[in-house]
Amino acid sequence: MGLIQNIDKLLKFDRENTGFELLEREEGTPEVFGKWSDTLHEDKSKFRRIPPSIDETERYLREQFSADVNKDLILRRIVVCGEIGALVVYMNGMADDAKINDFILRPLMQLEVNALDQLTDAEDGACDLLLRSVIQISEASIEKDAGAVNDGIMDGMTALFIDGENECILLDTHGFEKRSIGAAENEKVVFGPKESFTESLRTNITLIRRLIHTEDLVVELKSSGGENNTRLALIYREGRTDPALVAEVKRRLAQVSTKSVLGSGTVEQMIEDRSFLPIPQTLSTERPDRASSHILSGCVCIITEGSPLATVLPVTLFSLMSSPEDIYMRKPLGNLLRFVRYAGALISIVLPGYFLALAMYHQGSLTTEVLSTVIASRRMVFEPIAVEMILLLLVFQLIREAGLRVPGSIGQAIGIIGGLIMGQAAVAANLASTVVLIIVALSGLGNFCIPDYSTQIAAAYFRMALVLAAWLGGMLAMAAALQLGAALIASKKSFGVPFLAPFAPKTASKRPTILRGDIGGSTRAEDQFNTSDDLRTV
Amino acid sequence: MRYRLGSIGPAEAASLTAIAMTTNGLFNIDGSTAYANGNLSYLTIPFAALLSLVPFIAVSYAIERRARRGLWELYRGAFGGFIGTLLSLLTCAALMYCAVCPMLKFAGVMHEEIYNGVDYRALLLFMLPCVVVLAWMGFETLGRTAKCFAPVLLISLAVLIVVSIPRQHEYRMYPLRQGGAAWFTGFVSSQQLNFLPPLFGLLVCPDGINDIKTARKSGVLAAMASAIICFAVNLMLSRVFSYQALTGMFMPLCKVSSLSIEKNYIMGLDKLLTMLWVNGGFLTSAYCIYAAALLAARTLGQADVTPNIAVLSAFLCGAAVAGLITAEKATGDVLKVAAKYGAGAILILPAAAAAITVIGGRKGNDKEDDRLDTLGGDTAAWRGMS
Repeated sequence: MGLIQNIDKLLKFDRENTGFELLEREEGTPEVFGKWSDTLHEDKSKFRRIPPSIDETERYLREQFSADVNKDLILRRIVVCGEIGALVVYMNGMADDAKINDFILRPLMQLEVNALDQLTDAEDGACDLLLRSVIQISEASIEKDAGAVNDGIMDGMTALFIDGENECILLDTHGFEKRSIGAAENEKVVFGPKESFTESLRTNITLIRRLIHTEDLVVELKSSGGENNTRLALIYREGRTDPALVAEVKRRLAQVSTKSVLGSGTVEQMIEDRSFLPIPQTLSTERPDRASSHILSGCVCIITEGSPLATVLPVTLFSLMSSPEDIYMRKPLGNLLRFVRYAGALISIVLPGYFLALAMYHQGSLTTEVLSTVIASRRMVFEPIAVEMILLLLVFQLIREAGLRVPGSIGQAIGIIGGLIMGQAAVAANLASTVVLIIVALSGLGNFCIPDYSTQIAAAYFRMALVLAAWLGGMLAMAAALQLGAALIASKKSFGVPFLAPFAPKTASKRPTILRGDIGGSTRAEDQFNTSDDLRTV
Repeated sequence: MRYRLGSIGPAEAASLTAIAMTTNGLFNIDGSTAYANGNLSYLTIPFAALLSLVPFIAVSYAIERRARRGLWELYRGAFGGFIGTLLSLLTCAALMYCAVCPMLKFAGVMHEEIYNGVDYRALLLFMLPCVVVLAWMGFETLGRTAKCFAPVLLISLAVLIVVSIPRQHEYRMYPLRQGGAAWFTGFVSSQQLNFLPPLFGLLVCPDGINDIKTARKSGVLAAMASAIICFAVNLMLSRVFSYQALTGMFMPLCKVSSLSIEKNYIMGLDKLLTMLWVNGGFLTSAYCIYAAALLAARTLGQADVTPNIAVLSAFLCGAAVAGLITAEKATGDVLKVAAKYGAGAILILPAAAAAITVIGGRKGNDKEDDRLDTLGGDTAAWRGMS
């Protein structure tokens, strides 16, 4: 195009827009405050009978899965005993081709013609006879509901339809690619197992079963409640875990109804008591040993397909602050680590506000040396100390978040850049003072002592609230804010269990709260979970 | 019923009551009376705390024996509907006295010692909302929060006693004799308005502490703990300051902490300790407001305690502002009169109610039993027969 044509194109405002636009399809204008409209998925629980004709079945499946454009669905027609038609349906990539070829197609296709009479005259139907005598897959069942068949196909199972039968055989042929079991990335320990959960539900269940070899360990598989129909597993000990707790968890799970459930976090937020509070009311862990420990204590564990985290509930503050490493070390060492952890958490939350209150309102409490150091370090800093503190706390959160998002090879550099260069540069540029920088750094270190990631972020809320309170009113406002924060935590419950149990309320548990108990010496270790029997745990 | 009662154990109830009693016993003392002609506060105040157990235990036994659900039913059963209601409201007034006094005292300390010259209203702006929110959150939250703070407050007082050892001298305790038996009795009786209302608060909420027996056990524990703490702290004060110095002092504990704690220990530790005691004051006021609101709700047959909490919180705010801005003139005089005469009423009348109900009839009451049966529920538990 020539120059004049380009200029003309640039200046022409009435030209037709040929770019793609996502046009509104709803009628009318949206309401002032918006309108939420959840289009719930079709109720798949309604029973639909499988048509006896495989032609009709094939037509139905092609329509349901849009097979003309969805090439993942494989529909394989075969003939059994030379006369009976059969249809094998599976999802490419989800099912194991080798299993289908070796243990389904080959035995069916190699059935002799003289078996035809047995098939047609079978008392319980051809499907039952094939299942018992021909198909060589360990996990298989007969299904009569078309909706359940669809779910199975999408889950990686293979459906075998026999012409003239209004039921089908669902065969476990899972064979999708999945990540291998690796080390826990966010819950590292020095002593103890290194395995972590993966995105595969079956693998995660297996990891727990390897640690709990009891008959009473129950795994209930349920739909997560999202339109994408992912499954979740509810794990508990039948006869030990409080039945009322299990019933309540099931009731809350049944009420989950949302667009999509792509991870355990969605389920957690929908079943928590008060999800708007920053403090978590469930424990998310990527370690099988930690999840198993809580199951043995009487808790319920939820594992969601596609999520490498297990959700443990109910939870208390002390279980959020405990690390799996505590029980793998000797008692004095474990106690020291716990003490350091609690001290770190306290320093992280209280120190910035405390320093700010002293520096702004109670300078008389500071020694002459400290006062002169603070004054000297802030001599050229132009912003008020409170603003400086808040800015540095925000920068700390920025560095922390950036370090998570940046690719691995550069991630370490972010720590060096943020910690050394930015800090030093900020001080040199009189944007920050060394004293406040050290306070924020100490607070950040203390924050990382908290084992649970959600609790680390929740601590940031309390820290900022105390800083703002100290800015507004000094130590009096901090005292009021601390009191209200303590009351908020004291009032919280996780699935009916008080958050500060077994400290407040005091329970029959002999297990210490902050310090670690003796290995194997305690009964009724977790009285607040109301287990049905005495449990011997740490 | 929306009583925000919940369920707490004896440890939590004892912590809450002990904090209330100790706060009143340590910080709500009139120096001109307590230290006149000497200082026996390390005996009088703990004795007053223990003496308050007498009517408390008597009333609790009367409630249990007569199968009443709480203090309000005991009053009604002993004196009838009208006078019983009046007595309940009088107890509410006593509870509100215990709610207002810590706020006045601590706001004064903030104004004098920590935030020199800052307007009272600015200080109350931080203190009163905290008290109101705590009272609003209910009995269960108050009990659990008190359980968290009780060890911290205990440690803070222990730290203060220890660091003040170099400043303690025996000669400051003289003269050992302060007035006669009449003075001793009068002073101990006048202090009942500091110790009895928190104990009676337990009798207003026995169903939140399982039953009346547990409430009684909690009260006894709280009173004994309070007596021991008041003894230790007042003994320390009597050895650090002479009685003449104490007479003019607004809050001796703050003075001790500021004199004894070197800045090199932990900077701001003296202020930190004062703030911890302020937290104790918050809990005391919130507990007393809640107990008064609940007593009024149960006496008047209301199904919801939150309007009473709102009204009494507004009263607290008004009384605190009036008491401070008028330099304790009007409110202070009223409180002194109330302390002088109201203590007797709060001591005698419930005890008389207990005596009447215990002596005057057999166990239970036919008409009352029928009424409890028609209410349904676990009435046997109320009678302590389960």
